[in-house]
Amino acid sequence: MTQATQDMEERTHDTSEYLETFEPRAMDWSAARVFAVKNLRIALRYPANLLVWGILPIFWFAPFILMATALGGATTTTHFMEISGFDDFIQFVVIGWFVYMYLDTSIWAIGNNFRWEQMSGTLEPLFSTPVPRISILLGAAFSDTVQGIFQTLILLGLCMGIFGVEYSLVAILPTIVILMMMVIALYGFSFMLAGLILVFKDPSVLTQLISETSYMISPVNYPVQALPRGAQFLSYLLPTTIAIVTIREIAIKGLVQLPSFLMAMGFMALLIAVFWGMGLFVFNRAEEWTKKRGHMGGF
Amino acid sequence: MLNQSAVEIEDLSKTFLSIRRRAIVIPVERKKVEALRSVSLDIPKGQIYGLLGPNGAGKTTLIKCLATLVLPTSGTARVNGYDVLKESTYARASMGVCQGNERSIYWKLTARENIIFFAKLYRMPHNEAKERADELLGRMGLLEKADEKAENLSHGMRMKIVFARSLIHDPPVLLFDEPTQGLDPTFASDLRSYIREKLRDKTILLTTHYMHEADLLCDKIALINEGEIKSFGTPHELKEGVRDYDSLHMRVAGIPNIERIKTMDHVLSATMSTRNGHSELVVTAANGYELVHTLLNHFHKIEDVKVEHFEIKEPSLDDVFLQLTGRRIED
Repeated sequence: MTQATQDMEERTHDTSEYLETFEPRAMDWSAARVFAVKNLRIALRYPANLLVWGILPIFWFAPFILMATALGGATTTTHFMEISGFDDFIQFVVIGWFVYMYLDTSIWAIGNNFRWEQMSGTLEPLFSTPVPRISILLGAAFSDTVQGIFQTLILLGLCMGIFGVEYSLVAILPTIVILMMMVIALYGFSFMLAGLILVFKDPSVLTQLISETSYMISPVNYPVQALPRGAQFLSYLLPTTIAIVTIREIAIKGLVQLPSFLMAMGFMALLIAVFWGMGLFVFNRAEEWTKKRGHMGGF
Repeated sequence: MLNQSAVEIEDLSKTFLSIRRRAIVIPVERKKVEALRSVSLDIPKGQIYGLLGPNGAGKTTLIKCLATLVLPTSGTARVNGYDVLKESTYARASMGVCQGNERSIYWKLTARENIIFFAKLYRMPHNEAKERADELLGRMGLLEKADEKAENLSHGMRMKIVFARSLIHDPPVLLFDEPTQGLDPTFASDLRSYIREKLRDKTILLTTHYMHEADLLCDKIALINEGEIKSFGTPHELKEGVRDYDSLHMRVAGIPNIERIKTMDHVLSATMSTRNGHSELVVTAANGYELVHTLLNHFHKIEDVKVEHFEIKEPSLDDVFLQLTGRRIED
């Protein structure tokens, strides 16, 4: 028997009702749910925020619609139709924004959530509990998704009312599947950003840079074919691009082409694996970095 | 032999690297700050140990190392027998941490919601969590305020919630980091009574810079300064250690020359604080009674200094600290 094993055996542990049944978990789903519910409860105590964030994107894309209408007429131009395959610019843009809002949420929300916990002084008490970090991250992500769904539905409803756009609901299931896969892939992206925010503290410049870059290369207001070839490749590294392109096909044309849909799912699955691996790696390294420097609760 | 220590700290050191100078954004000069220097401390089960020292002495860093929030540079620490680095999840499950920061709860949640939230993170079912929250809030005298949002409560009440949160899962080890800091005397006294009377079966490490708190609550005290434990023992043992010296406390109208007093015969140390033209002096000396004459004669000759009060006190923990470090805990 080694000295270390001997030491372990000789060591006694005080116990309690909680400790008697305690076993560490790699993932604590209950904690993730509790964390999400807590975030939503707090969010509901600022009801105006939810509504405003549902309406704001309309102000962001309205100028594009006005510009496009001024340049190409009420609905479309021949050139736009040729490169995109769609004949209604507004219908096209609304889907872009509907999907992009999830990316925007994932860029800003979890990182800002951690920043908020840090500023509030609640991050250290959270990290002193035996809850796995992944559960806290996922809890934050779940609450952001719920808020995101609420906001995108407001956006979609308002756009249908204001601009009179209509979408095919025939293929709602594949749309939900691809949206869900995109959201799961974006969680990994969010974990990475949450880690970066633990390190860099002030999220504004970093997050703005990532947000603007991803916005620039996402085919929100234009078809992906409008991008230079290299940028198109970069654009497809974002799960939102695959989702925007696929959902436009499904919701506007009302068509699900099985081979291209399966290919989109395959790509998305690959992005999920890459983003989660990268996100958790960055977050864990960032946590270790902050613990070494004693910056966990610092501003 | 069975190990009966609930907290074991061995040669724990922590060095922080901070940036002293940047060239635009690139760090060009770094500074090493030794927050903890080879700290060793064993706390037997069921004992309350105090860490007493001024701001920046390393108390919070030590608590954070034990709470797994800061990684030590070297050394080991165990909480309830679990290594805080290798078995951190078990260590976290074994301890309750209360940091003296009223902001560490959710201000938009009610007192009860705050406790229930953390109780559920410790895997308590909803009904049990609610019962436990009410029990703890009741013990803190906050049951009537259970449904008030934390933002509407006073500083003292919020601190009680932070304190109650550390007890949720009934942990065997409690780490209290300045739990009464900034509290009004009534709230501070309530918390001290609670610790003394209701948590006797727990192992507690308490940091404070209030000497009377350490004196009142702790079975043993470690005096810490600049990351090093300077002395360790029961309050009585520590005071006995400086028993050879007398501590003279003097209040005078005017501002005497403290440097002159420090050079007088028999004087070991002298500190002075001045407020509204009055000065409080604390002078330690091998023989205080001889010094009394010297000092009174000295002040008698100075026109603008009048002695208002003069007394030779029993050594306090502050005197012990002064003797060991040359500085006061309040510095």
